[in-house]
Amino acid sequence: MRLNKKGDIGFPEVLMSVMVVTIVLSAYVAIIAYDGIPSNDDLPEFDRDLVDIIVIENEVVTGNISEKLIEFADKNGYRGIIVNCISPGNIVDCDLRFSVGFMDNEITGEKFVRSIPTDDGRSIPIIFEVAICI
Amino acid sequence: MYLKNKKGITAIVDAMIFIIIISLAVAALYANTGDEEFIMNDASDVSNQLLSSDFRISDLMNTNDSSVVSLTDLLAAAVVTGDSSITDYIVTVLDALTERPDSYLLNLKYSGKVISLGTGDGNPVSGYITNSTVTFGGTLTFELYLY
Repeated sequence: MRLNKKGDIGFPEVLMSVMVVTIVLSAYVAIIAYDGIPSNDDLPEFDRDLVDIIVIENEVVTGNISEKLIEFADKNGYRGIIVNCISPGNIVDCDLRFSVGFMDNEITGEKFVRSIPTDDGRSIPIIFEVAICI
Repeated sequence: MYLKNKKGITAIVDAMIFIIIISLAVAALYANTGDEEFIMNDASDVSNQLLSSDFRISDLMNTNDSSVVSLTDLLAAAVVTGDSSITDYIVTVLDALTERPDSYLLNLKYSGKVISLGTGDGNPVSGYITNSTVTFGGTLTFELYLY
């Protein structure tokens, strides 16, 4: 590789510049691509402790979490939340459904199970379906 | 093909490499975009909630016995006796929770016997193994995998 005082570059210099440009561009594009990958950490998560006040009385799932849902939605900036309850196997009657706000935008959902105490010493698994509109 | 100016070939190769790198980056960006609309359950949370449940025997079995027992005891009895009413209930719960076929595998081990519920497909997203003490002796191994 010989330096040229006239400012011309030869083939080796061009090759080096191509390699440098390629490496720098690859790193730059890789950083942008990595930042752009959506991850589960960005999804809104429902605070499952909100259903702690749900109980089972006389074989019926009861409780009202509407106010807590409104507070939760306001605090996190969600447009709306729907919560449905299911009693697998119909061990107890479960007809609860809570709906706050509007569900007119992107929606994420989750389902989880909670062991709900009864008034006669049992704990029955109840499934909660949650939809959050962000 | 006769090249008129050989100096331009370097610029062409440079441009081709740049285009290839951009294409790979865009492909990687969209290849990793999965189904992001549903949050998966954690096997340990599901297992702990189920194992902390208590039922009347008459809730799950065809009997008038209204004694309250833990699900651990009922599952241990089901493993030993082969009674399907209790395992059918667990299948109902897990089917309602996952709503997809081949989305869970539950292995129950007690007193040298094993019952498997569900079928898993692929690598599990979440798994949990726990030992739960049975009131009438021994421990029940509850092994849950969610796919």
